[in-house]
Amino acid sequence: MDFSTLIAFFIISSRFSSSYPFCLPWKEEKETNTNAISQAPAPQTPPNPQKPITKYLIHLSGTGILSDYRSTDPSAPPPGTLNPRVYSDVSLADNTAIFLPPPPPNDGRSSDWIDPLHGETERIVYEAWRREEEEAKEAKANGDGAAAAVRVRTAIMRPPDIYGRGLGVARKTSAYVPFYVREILQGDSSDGEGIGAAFFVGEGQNRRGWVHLEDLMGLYLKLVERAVEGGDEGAAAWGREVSFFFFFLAFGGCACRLGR
Amino acid sequence: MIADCWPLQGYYHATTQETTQLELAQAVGRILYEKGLIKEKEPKQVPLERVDGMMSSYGLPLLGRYMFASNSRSVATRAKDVLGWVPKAPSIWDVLEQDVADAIEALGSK
Repeated sequence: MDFSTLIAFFIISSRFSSSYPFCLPWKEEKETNTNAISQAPAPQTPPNPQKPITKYLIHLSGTGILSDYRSTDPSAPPPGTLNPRVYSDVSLADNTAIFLPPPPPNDGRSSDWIDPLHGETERIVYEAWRREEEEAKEAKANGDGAAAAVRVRTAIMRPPDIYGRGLGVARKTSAYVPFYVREILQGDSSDGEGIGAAFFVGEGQNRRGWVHLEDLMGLYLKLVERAVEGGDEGAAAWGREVSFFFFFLAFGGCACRLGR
Repeated sequence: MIADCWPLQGYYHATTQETTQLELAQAVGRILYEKGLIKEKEPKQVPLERVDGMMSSYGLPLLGRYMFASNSRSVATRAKDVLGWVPKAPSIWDVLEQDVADAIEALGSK
């Protein structure tokens, strides 16, 4: 798991639990797949097929998934050099090609596919979307007005590396700089030695993206506020209660229920 | 419009700037040198194998390579166009000295 993501999880959870106090920890196993998304904690009122309930999943991933560090592409640049490939979040092909393995070669060789960081969890969320889309299409074809009683809308947040301090009680250290400083000064085992200088590999022209923790919080809050406002075109039944799931398959999950 | 936030392809990057490893190394090196914590202000090139062996206790192969020798490049188009996100926090260069000081303090308390 991307460590900026791991740290962001703790920072985001503590920030959200102060703004949205009704936060229930909810354990989830990595092996549990999309069942967890559809088996959300039951709402207080029974779902009414005429008025679907919309749930929002903001899945926290990271740009570790976009890193070229384990690329098996023979034309990928060597470590320490610039890779001109920049990923946009509005390109579906850009986004899904990363974690969908290509079909295995016909000649019986096994694939040399290596799952990227966050690959498995993003694949699970993607498959949940696809299933829901297909079910909606089928329902439309069959003439059903509202496809399902419970609908899950998903956003996948991929923060890059994080710098800067948060407000309030959040930790002061983010993920990247402390690791770098430690490798410079101390190394990382009891008999390890630091490099004794800041360091790079090759020409040091490899680039990474960054975001200030406060800006990342701002983006997260915008998403949450949009969900609270409602992303439900027709039905109004969800209005009283919205559940948010911050879904971290590898390290457990936190379900925040907002009463409004 | 609101439904645009949550389409099938609802990916959100949050990138506001990029740095190269060399730029980062130069800035961190200068800060640590001025604090008297290292003897070399200029950053040092290290072999890939050295970096590959870093952070091995986390159990993710080649994590050090990911952290220090890879590219991970993204743009945050959707967040700005669909949500009207306007990042306003200081740049990494403005806060790096504070981040390094915080990192040193965290190391010292272990």
